[in-house]
Amino acid sequence: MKFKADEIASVIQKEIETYHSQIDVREVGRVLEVGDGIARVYGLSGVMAGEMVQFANGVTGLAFNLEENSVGVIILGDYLAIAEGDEVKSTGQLLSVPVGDAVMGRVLDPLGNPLDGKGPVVTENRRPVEFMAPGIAGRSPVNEPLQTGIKAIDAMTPIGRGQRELIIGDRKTGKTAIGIDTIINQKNSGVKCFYVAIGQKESTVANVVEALRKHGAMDYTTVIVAGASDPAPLQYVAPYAGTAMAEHFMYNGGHALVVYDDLSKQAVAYRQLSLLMRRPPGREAYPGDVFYAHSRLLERSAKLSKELGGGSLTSLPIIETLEGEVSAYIPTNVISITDGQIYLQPDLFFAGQRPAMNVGISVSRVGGAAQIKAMKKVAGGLRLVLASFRELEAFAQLGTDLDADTQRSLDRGYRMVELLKQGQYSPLDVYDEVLTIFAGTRGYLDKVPRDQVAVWEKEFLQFVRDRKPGIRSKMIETKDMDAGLTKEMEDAITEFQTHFAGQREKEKAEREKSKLSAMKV
Amino acid sequence: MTQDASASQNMSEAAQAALDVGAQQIAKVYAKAFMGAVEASGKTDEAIAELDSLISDVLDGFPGLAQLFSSDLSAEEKSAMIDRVLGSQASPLMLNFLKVLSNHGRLDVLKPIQRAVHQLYDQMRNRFRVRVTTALPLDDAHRAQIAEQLRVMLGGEPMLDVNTDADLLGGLVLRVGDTVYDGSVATRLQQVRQQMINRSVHEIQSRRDRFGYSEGN
Repeated sequence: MKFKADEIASVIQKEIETYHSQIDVREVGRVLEVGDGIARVYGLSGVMAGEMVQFANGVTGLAFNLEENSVGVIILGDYLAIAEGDEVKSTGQLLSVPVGDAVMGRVLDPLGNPLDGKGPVVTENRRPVEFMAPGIAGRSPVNEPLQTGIKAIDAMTPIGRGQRELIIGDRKTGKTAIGIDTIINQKNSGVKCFYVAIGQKESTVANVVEALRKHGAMDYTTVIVAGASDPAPLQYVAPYAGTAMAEHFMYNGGHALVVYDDLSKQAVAYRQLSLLMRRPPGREAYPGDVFYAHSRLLERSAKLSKELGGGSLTSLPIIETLEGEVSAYIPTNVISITDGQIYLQPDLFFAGQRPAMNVGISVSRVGGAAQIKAMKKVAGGLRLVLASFRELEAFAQLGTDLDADTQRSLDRGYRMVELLKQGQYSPLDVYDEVLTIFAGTRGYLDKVPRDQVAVWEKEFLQFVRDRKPGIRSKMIETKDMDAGLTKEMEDAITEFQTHFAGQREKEKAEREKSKLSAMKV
Repeated sequence: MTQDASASQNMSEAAQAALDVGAQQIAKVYAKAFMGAVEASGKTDEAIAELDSLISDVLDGFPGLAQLFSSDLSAEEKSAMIDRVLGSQASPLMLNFLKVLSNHGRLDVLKPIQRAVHQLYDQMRNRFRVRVTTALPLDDAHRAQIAEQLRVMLGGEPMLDVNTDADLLGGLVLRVGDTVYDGSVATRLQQVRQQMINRSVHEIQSRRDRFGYSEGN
């Protein structure tokens, strides 16, 4: 192919003509000292707090501390390549990240640079990382459910779109699993998901990404990673960056979900920065404004009013406690900011109850309004059943004789606990959840052996799908349970009970037969 | 020409000593007091010349004296020494100033004070220090032209401090205070390079999108 010089000549000429006179005007300073993710800069007399600055090697920073004769800058990138005396220029801009459809399915760092090897993120859309939360007039009450697909949560601590529900617990109690399952369950719901990994091992994050990809969740999910090896400034800005990306969808009338995993590590990163910047330490050496760091972040989650498009941003912050200590500084702060919390306890986890949620002290302050009617009806008494069961369980362990009534309560409780167990990566849709909990609370499982509850549930749901599709379609249509539907469900369960019992008999007979034949041999 | 040379010397010193921001801050206070005193006496230029000469001829000429100044001798001893050494030549005002410094234990910030005094003096006379960096040495005609344009732009008298840096390739870089006006060829090339990268990235992406690229795969 040959270039046609005369065709492009005029274009080139135009480019050259418009090019000249672009003088680069910048305000500069000089690095006085640098280390551990921060730099002190002399000069930059006109720089504003939170403004982005650029170092000579292209690394960006944020003006963090404005002092009488120097500026404290946090370095968002490799601080080892910056030397004393380097030039720093102010950019006059706030830190921003790329947003929109271009970031979906990507793994990014907190500045929006790709980490997944799938090429650059090409989009004109950017949003500032720090953004004011919508005000009172801009919000509407939470009224749409965000289904997590986890029976225990959707029934007892329901989460609404625009809510902030804290997931709190010790290490290894399944906090991340709840976040991931919720993301997986957003398939086909139109909710865009953002998983912000802060201060985690890169291998853990790689596993999460792989799990999301395997379950088809990466199509609508963005993973923002500031790993354990990244400098503290990146870990500090990561949640704000993730929120900015999610806000784009909220302000355009869409729905988004952010999982911050976890905010205690972000607080630690912020503490490191603040101490290096010589801000005075407060309780547990955290700076005085660590509460504000979290409150301004979580306040950005909202359900917008109709005038603003009715979009929503739901957040699931995660906090790791030490030895169940929820009265430490950061946990109490975040508990007071959020609209409820899900407590996960190690003893429940190791007793095989997964998710290891402590029903008694987990609450959701606004989500109840967002439950579908059918769920509200079946889940109403569930919390009470479980609470009284916990009480009786301790009592029953004393080995005293129990009256029939107590025994019945206990049986019901054991079945319900069994029923609320749910494996990882297997979220249920809300109608299945309603069917299951309906069967449990109405006592249809009381006669099923405890070790067969899971099988019963699985086969029952399959049975309804295959033989009674009317029940599901009616529920999907009305999202409610009237007397007719209740009757239908009861009939279906009774029918299934005989089927199930027959099935078990048959299996038992087969087992005996094979045992006999084995003995003969 | 000599003025320019001394100015450039000042700038490079400023570059080094600016790193001690604490001393600079202290020096500003004393410089303000010094300027107030000399303005009141009406002999500003002489006093500043005397300060310059004190620094360049006495302190730089006899490094031992500077060491004594910053040593932990008592203020009385230092004052007596100042009288003995400089009493015959220095003006009473300068002697007083030095004694005040010695009483407050600030004789070691004399150099930052000198710099701050010059800055204040320039400010009062509405003069601006401008650091001009070019790829090739400037001739006088160009220099005058630049000075003229700066005079219009800044609304004051520019004091040029001319440097050459071959890495700029062409054009010139002006620095007034903390603001840099960069019209160098090197920076423009850098910008062009960035633009080309951005455009190619865009082009690659849009072509890829055209071939049924679906999200997440």
